Amino acid sequence: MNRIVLPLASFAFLLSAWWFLSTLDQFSAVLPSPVTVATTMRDDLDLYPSNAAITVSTAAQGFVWGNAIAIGLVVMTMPFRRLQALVERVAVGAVALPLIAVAPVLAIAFQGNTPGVILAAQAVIFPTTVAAILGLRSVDRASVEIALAAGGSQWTAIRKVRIPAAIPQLVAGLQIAAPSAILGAIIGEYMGGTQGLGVAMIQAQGTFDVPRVWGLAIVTTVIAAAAYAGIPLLARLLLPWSRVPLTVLGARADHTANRGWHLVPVRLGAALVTTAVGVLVMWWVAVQLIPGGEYVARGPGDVLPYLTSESTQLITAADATEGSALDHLLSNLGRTIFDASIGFGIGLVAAVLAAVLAFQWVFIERILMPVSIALRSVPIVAAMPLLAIVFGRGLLAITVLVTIMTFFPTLVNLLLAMRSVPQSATDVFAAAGAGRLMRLRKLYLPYSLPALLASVKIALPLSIGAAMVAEWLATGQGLGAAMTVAATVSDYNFVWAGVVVVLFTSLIAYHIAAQLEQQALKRLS
Amino acid sequence: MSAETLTRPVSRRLFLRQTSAAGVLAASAATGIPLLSACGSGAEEGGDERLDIKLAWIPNVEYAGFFVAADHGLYTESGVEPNFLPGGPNSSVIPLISSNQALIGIEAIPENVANAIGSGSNLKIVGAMFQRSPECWVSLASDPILEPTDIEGKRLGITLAGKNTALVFMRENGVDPAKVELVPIQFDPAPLVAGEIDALWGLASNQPVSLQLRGHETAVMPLADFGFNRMQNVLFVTEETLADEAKSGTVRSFLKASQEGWQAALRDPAGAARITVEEYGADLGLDVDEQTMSLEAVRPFIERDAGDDHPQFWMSDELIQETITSLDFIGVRADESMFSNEVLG
Repeated sequence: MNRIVLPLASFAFLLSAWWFLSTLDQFSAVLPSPVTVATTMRDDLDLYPSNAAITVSTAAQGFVWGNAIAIGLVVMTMPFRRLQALVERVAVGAVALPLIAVAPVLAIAFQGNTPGVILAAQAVIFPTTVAAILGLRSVDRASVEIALAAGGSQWTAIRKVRIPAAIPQLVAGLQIAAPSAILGAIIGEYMGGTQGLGVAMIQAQGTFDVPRVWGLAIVTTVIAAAAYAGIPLLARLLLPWSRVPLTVLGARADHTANRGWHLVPVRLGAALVTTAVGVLVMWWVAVQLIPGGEYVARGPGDVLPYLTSESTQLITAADATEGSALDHLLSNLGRTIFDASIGFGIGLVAAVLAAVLAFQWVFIERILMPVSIALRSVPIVAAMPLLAIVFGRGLLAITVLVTIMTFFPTLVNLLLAMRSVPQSATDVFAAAGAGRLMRLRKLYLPYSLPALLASVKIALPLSIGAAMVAEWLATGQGLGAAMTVAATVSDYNFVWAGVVVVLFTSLIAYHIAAQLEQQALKRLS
Repeated sequence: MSAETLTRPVSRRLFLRQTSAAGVLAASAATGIPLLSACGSGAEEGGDERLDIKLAWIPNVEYAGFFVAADHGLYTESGVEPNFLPGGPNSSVIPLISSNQALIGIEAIPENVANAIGSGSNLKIVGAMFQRSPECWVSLASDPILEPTDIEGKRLGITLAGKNTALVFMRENGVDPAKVELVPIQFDPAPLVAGEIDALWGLASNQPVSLQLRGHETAVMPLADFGFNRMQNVLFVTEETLADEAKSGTVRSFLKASQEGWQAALRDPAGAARITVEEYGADLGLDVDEQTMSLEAVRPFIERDAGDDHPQFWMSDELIQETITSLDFIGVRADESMFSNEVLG
């Protein structure tokens, strides 16, 4: 009964809220009433199938490629921790690459819908890599030891213990990845396409056909939600036993946390140096490998002299900002880090609160999930006019955008973790008469800590990326804005310097989060 | 791995798990295959006739003349087979031309090409679709902005890419930039109607038309009236293309057929709009009446002055000088050597 009534009620609530807002003067220009949108959608009915087919096909190809690459690499590197750490970092690097730098490179190297496929795959690789690593490692250590003691190799343990146990986490990872893949495909269409939901959206925005933009956004959301809902069903169909919960009470996660807190600064220092060297090497290699790279790519040999030189094309027109390119870069980077940190902090707290509430009261999940899927899959370029009117163009707008980007993965991961608390543990708490809060504090939250920490790791690079998008579309300050301006004046030296500092910052932030994760897990185990 | 399966019995459940997991991966691989086959570019197929044109925006009536030329078979008659690569808000044109992925590029604003030349690209502008700049400040008719100084104390919406230009334009016209709030917007006029900005930096051929269609009357202040006129929607190629006899011949044939296409399009805007919608925009929900209106709005910027016998796209010396002055005005260096009419017959 509740399964039908509650979603309907929440749907009705959303609809009436929308209706009410659309009657307000300040929103009426960008937010048509539900009736107008519904009428437009009915008239546009033959617009959707052909465009959706193209976008979905691009997204599906990227989804399959990205996941195959991510899962394949993680499984293959499972016995080799250091190699796996490298894979993880490359995945972070992939998600931290700003679109403004990726777009021209993809445009040169590929045609047709291939850039969209690559962007979809790029969006998918990171969440899936983290989910796969988390899933494969969060197995009951005893089971792995039994497999090894029985004469099995690491590979046996991977095949027979780790992969089966990782299925729920992997399914959650794929669920998180699905709306990202659709968003990636649509961004690909924003780079140039003849057909697809993104192209239709540009067309509708350009002719100020606001109801049509909303209709297209709704269709996009329905597709993303269908993918989100369909993936667990598919998994259940193919792997009916994958819902078997972990058997041992308080299964100890299989994490290695060698050495203690006092070595953290040393390891961070080492990470700083190795990351810097790694980024420089990858940078140099990438510039050599990119097809047609000499036209848009700038290697360390070009950028370093540029940064130390006193002149930059960027500052010539605006008289207020005199200074070297390096000053310009660093002040903008500082701005971006500030923007991202605020958004990250607030977004994380919001997601944890939402996850706890959604876990306690299913109807909250039923309201939150569609909204967060929608926000995650609608291209921000299309949503920005509304967001800017509601939230302004300051720190609030950045915080909202960062939250939109990080909220969904955190919510899904945390909910899954709280749901996979073994029944036996819940029974023990129930038998002891523990109340709701007690269970939350002593059982569910500690149990989901690895998932929370993994979410932090995911959210950090996503925050930096989202802050840069917000700077580009909303505030016009910080690295996201500066790189956009640089790209339009063909100042690729600045663009690449920006890419490199963003990459470095994301990797270091990720490294700090990983250190925190290790230490926390060590204390727990 | 096979050794392990021999030494220990495999439970049915484990076996099923593994095989179905393998099945999923196999299925994934199967659906993924089309990507690889789609990767190859058709470089060999076309040989010398291969003619890719990278547009700055999605295909719509802004490029109607080209589509009419294709529809009327003018390109086939000239022995070229153009392939139009669509653009978009995140699309970049110049790198595609510099790297020879496309032969001809169309950039909305010449300063992008001039900047690229300034940073070492060997490009040359070989024609201009817009003989006058349609750039303007668009405001609502209820609160019109008709002089640059009207913007003081108000909010001007502009893309990030145009920010530098806006600052210089205002300073040159006696506006104190400190008294203007610059709001970063995209291509969509929603912020103006929503009252978030008082004017937007737009195109007379674009936002005023779509706003009027939705019932919002606008006021337009052309920048050309305030010392900032230049050619727009410029066609450009690499210098190597111009030096290569076969390639420059292809470009010449393409432009010749395109000129006729544009003449036909301007003679019959409704027909041109219909061709554009049917051939390129039916699936995007383009509307013939709206596209006809847009084409009419573009017309004054494309048509040449009475008595000007030069062919379409031709850049007169005055226009080139005016463009150089305007670019200089916003701090972009340009000179005559960046422009050439040599492929316009």
